[in-house]
Amino acid sequence: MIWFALRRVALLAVALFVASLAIFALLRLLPGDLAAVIGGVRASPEQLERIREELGLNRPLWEQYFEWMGGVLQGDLGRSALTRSTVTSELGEKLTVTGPLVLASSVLSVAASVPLGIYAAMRARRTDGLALSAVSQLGIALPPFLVGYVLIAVLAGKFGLPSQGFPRRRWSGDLWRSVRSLVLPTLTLATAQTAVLMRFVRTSTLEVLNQDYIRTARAKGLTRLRAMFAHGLRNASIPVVAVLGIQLASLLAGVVVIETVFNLPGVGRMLVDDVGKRDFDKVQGTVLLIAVAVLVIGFLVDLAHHLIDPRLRTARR
Amino acid sequence: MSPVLRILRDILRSPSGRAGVALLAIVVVAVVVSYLWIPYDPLRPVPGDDFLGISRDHLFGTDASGRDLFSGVIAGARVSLLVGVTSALVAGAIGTLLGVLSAITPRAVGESVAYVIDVLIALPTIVLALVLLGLFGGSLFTVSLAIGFGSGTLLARVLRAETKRVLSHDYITAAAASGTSTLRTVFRHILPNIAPIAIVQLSLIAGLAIIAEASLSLLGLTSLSRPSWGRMLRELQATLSANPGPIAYPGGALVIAVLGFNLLGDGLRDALDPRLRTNRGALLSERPDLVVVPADDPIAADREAPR
Repeated sequence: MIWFALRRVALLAVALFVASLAIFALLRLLPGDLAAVIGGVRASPEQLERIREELGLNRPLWEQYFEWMGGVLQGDLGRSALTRSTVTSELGEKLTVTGPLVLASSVLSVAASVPLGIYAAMRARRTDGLALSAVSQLGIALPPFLVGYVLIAVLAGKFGLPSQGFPRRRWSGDLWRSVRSLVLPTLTLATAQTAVLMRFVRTSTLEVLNQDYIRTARAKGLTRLRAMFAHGLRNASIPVVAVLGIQLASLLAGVVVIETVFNLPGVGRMLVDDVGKRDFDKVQGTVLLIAVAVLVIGFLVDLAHHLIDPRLRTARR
Repeated sequence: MSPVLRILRDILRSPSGRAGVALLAIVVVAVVVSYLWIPYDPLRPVPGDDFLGISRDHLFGTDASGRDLFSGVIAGARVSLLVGVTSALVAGAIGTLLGVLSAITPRAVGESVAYVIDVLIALPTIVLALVLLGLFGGSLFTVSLAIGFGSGTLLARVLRAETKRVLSHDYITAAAASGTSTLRTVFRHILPNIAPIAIVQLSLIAGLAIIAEASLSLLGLTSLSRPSWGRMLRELQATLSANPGPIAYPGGALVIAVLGFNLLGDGLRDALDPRLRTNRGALLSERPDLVVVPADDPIAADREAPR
């Protein structure tokens, strides 16, 4: 296990390096002349030269990359071209909204999808089990923002929940209002995730329920539920944990849209705004943060995978 | 019977396939109608006509600035269908190329390509598309290319695993022993055998692409000059709490198109791949969508192997 973890840490380091290269290439190589993109079509040659000078675009690419990386490793993601404040401080501020949102919705969706999925699997041939899977099938086809609209239309008025914005003073001001502002976006993201995750839980539970060892446990006299919990749960959780990482990554993507729908001042909203304002140094830092988050989640999921499934430990050797 | 007809018949045999074809037929009809007849200019506001109800003049009513919603929905169907299909084609080209190449090239090359693909998947498609649109503007071509590239990396991972599975069969060894060139093996043996998985995935990718395009339009990043469902939703959202009703039209259209492609994918799976065939007669397939095999995971590889 130790060796596996060390190997995975090394692989993670390489992955982070490749990701940073890819993001750098995406923003510095692909556009051809970034200065022309930022300056727009009507910029004069002098203006373009000034932009290049400011962003260091006139130096060799490898030098630009290593300067950026050197800063990143010291926690410095550069400065915003417009507000002149550091990208790190702006990201940190936005994370106070995005962090709780992502955390709450992932916890909520796991807490909801596991029991729902198991229930749908155990009653796969009954009406309620089938209805539950049909709802999840519909939920998968429903884009998260539509879920958001439905929740706003149904719940916002009834429970007096805010559907737009977040208190200016963040959590330090009116705490209760801050919490309430996050209720609907959290529910939206969690509902969209639950639909997908639940389907995976159901599929993998169904597969386990058909295994011989469950039949043996039943023959031994265990009830269906006890056989499932004593022998099936851990086995059923293996493929679910594997997709959990991918799902959490898609949750981060969902945040970009949902924060705009609910007008929340978070990382995703900032990214959309920065792309619109062509503040590409900030975009570069934000995209790096998202990629790092996804890679680290994948790493943690892999570790969890190995803790749950002892077969993997022997298979690796 | 020609193979295409047979596949079509098999799709129509499975309940999911039937439902998918029916839903997509609605979208196609909307596109055809939009080329023959759009009652009003979906982009031009008409002062004084705001929030008209459903009537013979305005089948779906109007929005806050008096634009006809029915015109917007059928004109938006063009964009969604076009982006869905184009993105799927782009993803198919990238995914097949990278997936097959990374599986047949020498280990050192193939593994590194696969590794880079794994890292690229860490960039969510919508974030990648966001940045590309910021750099190159929001034309339909850029949108499809960006979404297609994002989903193409995911497809590449699936197809690499599938190609490796095909390569492990005896007939590949036999072909190599009888002197078949690699290129010929790819076209004769590999591509026909990974095609069923690829086609099913592409149908699901088309659905995801439609959601992605709508999201990008919702964020206001696509071209203003084309009516699209995401763009309509963006405008209707402003008056959501006062008048939530109209959102159901572009929203419902979006769900019809996405669900159509998802169910068509299920139907295609039943029709094309006997290995994955689910219990017939069930509307819900037991197989999760987009089964992504984790990189070099022996247990998962074992699970995927034919029994």
